[in-house]
Amino acid sequence: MNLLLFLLLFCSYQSFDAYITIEAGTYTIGKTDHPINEQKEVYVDAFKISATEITNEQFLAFIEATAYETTAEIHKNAMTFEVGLAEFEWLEDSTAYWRFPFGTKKEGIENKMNHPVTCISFIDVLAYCEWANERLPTLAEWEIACRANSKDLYFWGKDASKINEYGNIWTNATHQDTLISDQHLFTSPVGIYAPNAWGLHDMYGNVFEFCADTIPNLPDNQSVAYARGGSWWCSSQSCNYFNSIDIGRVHRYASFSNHGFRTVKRK
Amino acid sequence: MKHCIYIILILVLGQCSISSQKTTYTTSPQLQRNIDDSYSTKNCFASTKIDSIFKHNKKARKAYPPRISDEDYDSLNDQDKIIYALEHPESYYQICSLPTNPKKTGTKLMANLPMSFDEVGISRKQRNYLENHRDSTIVYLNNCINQSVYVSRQYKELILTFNFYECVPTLIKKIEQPEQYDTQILTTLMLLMKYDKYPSFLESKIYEKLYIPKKGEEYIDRKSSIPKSDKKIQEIIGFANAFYQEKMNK
Repeated sequence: MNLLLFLLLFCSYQSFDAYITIEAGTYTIGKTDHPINEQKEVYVDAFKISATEITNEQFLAFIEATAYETTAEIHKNAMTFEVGLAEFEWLEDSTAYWRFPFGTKKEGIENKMNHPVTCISFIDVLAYCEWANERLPTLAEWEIACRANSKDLYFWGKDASKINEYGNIWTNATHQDTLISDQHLFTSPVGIYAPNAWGLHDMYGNVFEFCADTIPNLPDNQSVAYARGGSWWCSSQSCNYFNSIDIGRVHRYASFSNHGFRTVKRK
Repeated sequence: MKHCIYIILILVLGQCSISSQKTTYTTSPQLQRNIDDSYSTKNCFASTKIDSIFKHNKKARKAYPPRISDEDYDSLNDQDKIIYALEHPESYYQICSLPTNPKKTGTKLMANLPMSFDEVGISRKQRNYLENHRDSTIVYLNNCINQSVYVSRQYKELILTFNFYECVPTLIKKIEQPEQYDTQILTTLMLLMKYDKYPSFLESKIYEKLYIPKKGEEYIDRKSSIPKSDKKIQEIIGFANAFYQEKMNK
């Protein structure tokens, strides 16, 4: 019986490809009159993007191979969350880092190795990519992969309320309380929500995903990193279209417990 | 004699027509653009002590974000601690979506301030200090607003975060100075009254248009707006003045 259960779990875990190939071509991204992400046609070469966000297990392999120390471990500046904080407020916790995304007084990642790694900075992500011989998707590549050729605002259509089928988001109206039971209050295992038409999971919710490039004509491009897709923290009241079109940003040295990444294979 | 009476009448009528002229509120397009594009007014009042600490302490300068040690912080006087909180925010913030604010906000009265969180903001320690030193923080803010060309978005957000209704007269004074206000000051006044649930404003047409979802809609677009007019500005100022008086009389 245990063996059967293991096989079932194993098969379900392996049921999606690790990387999805996005064909070369011209794609439409952005939205008419959007001040940052104006609708446009972009050509991209073919690229292979990870079907899921990079997990704690994958990040552990990097740490064990390199003895890398993350930004949060060095600067003791990770930003964590707890229910009851004011909207958009995060708490600095000097004990938090990727192994303990909510600080050492809370549960660590031991039983969450298949969850996305969090509490890592953009600087840490670049180090991982270097080690893995991979790279971050550009903002355009990320959006192309997310849309999966959909002409609508979301890859499943226009109905925003369907987000709960496709992404792990914050289901309560505010972050002051948890009146409605949330299947996953914080991160969830990667790949358990329905994928988009191209087989990519968690393009919305779970963790914000760092992207590679900068946006022309914006100030402070050297100190900020851009991210897409929203996270477990994002609620229908606090996130605009769950970052279908919008672009989030944080300081490059900031490590939040709702930020992670997925990668693209280098050629 | 008859002529004198005519002259006096003309003078009196002329005076009346001058005093009954509607106030025209003017704003500089360049100022509005600056407000839309920028966030903070750095160094409204500098602190030589804070500057000196940063200058001589590499660790403070190189920290992410730059910050002084607890020991140095404790050595600051009250004024310096306010300046430190306002001018040297020591915590990280995240911005879920880059500001997608409507263009040409100078021609409209917006329901909300633009999404403008910076990547850095005040920490819990700094927040607590400002909360616990409300009076001196308001004095500092009022002085800054009076002396600056414009009211930074950072200050507007602080006023809202801490419900600094004591700044209402200073904000109104800014609106009444030619070419010295931006429409976000009016938004700040409206949000102050909204958050404080000021009944007169909550019952107004302006509130209904800006903050109440239309029939059949669950939420109102956070970018909702109404056209700007002197009459509406006067109405908002009237509400804000009455709101301030009511708060002060409590």
